Amino acid sequence: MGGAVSEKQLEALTKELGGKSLPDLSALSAAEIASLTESLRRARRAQEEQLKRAFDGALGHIPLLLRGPVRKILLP
Amino acid sequence: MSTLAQRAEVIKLARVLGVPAGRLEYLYKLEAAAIRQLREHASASLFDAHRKLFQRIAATTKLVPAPLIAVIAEKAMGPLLCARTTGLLPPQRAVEISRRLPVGFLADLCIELDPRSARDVIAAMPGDRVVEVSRELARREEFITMGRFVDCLDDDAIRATMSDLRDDEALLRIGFFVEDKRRLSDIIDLLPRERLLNIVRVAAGGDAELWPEALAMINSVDETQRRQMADLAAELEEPAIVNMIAITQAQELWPAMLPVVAMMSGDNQRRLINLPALQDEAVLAAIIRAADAAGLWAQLLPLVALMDNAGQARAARVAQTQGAAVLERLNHSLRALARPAAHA
Repeated sequence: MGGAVSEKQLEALTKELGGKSLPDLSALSAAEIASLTESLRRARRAQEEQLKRAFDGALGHIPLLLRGPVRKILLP
Repeated sequence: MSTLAQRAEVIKLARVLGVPAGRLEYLYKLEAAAIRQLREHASASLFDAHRKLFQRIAATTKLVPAPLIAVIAEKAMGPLLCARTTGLLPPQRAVEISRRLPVGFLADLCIELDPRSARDVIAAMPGDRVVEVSRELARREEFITMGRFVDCLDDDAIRATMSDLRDDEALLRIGFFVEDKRRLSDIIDLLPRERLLNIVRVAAGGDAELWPEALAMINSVDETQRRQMADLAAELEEPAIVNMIAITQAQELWPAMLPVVAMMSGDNQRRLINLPALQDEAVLAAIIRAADAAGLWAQLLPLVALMDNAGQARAARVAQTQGAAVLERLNHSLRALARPAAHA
């Protein structure tokens, strides 16, 4: 993993960055590119989990009367 | 060695990714602009990944009363998700909710927020709220975050924040992180002369990290301000100037420093160039090498002309020790400078 960066690795990183063009990363090793890609993947998953927890938590604070309409907007 | 700009970008990217900055140390091999591009892409990609959900959260804020939204924001959502949603709220609604949130929570939110994604909300924030949150961010030494907000705040909010924040070193450190250099120039214009003088004094008399960054900042603002700040530096008390020269010498900053000295008034140049600290032979040698390497003879030679006789003799002696190639370039530059005068 410490050697040359493969096309596949760069594609995976580009995908995690939303398909946008990458800056010059030629100074980074294959292991570093892999680590950066993994950090992005984890950040996305963490955000997903945080959102799920936030939705559950938010509904608990909302008065019963409003809970139905709010649930409809949040989780259609 | 990493630059301040690289360190700032790595810290910002680490925040977007929710990892300690130490885990991204390998990124110091990249230019600051490349790390910045990675951060902007990462931030946009994380937002896009759940854009619809953020939009739905924003939509519910129209339905639920502001005090309840504030409770949900603080207790259930937390600063990161709130930061990602902020830019989707109608500005007045965001202001209404923010009034009910503790300053500490708003500071946490600001650290996570990309200010450019929420320009309208930031612009709508009342000045007193901006000042309170700025005070909290300054207390936490969140200068990177504060520097990012400078681009999005209007002059009134900036003026109110600067007059509340009395720590000039903090102000200087915030200035290093302002991303839009034109905005930095606007802000320097808002500062009274005495305050600007003290900021230059803090930069010149401070630790080894402050002066190089201040020098880079002086070289990034417009010419009028560069001249003004150069003269302020020259008017400082001698110990501050000696410290400034020592740091410039130790960190080989003469290529950045010579153009600043060249912008000073003639009287200030004369005072500076004849100080014992600048007439030290090792310092003179470093200045001559920098002028030669960076093509700054046209800036240096008029300064030598302002030296007293002993200083000029010393400079000539030091120049002789720099090798034939340097001497040849020096003589060539001397002739080029003398030529227009000869025609006059």
